[in-house]
Amino acid sequence: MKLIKAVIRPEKETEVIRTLEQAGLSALTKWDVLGRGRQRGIQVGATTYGELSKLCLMLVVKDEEAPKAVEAILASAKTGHPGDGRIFVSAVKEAYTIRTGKPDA
Amino acid sequence: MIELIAIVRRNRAIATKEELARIGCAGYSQFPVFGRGRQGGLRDQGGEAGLHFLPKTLFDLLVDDERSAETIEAVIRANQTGEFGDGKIFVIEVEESIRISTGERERTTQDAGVTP
Repeated sequence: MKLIKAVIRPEKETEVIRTLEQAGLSALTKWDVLGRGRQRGIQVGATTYGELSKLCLMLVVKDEEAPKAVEAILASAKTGHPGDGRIFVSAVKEAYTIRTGKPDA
Repeated sequence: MIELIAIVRRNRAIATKEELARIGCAGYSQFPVFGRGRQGGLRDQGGEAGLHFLPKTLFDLLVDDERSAETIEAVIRANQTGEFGDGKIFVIEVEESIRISTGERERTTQDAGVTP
């Protein structure tokens, strides 16, 4: 299993979630974050914003579904400008469903 | 080191903390999130209405390899109601952890954050 963590523009939330749903991936967890990337925030006139508001999406999918999930996020979160966000993929050793108390296959 | 990401019901968060304290795992991060599982939240008979995302609490626990089974059991014990929506626990291997106060690198540590 793979854990996919995506930091995206908050205004793209609905679009990304809808695209993932259409790809058959409806399970996800989300929370608001503040962050910056290589550009170290943004400068608007005299004001510098060191950290920008983003949305963090976390989903755990089967190995073979990971490319599909990444493509879905890429297709829907992209505007082509800096600040579109990042996607991180890492390995998950086990996943337990608390209801049953058993690890998932 | 093992990272456990546990997503649980908000009203079980205190019970989870107590259970973790009882087994001597005092160090964790915890924050409110919104999420849903395979059921896609609570939907009105496949319709658009309903709650698409449910409030949950995410616990991020970093424990020693040999303590991970015990910690998983404790989280399950504190959260199992047998109904859908009890949550998930994800187990991830952590390559290295560094204690900022000492700069000490802990590849195999005592439980991170345990108060003796």
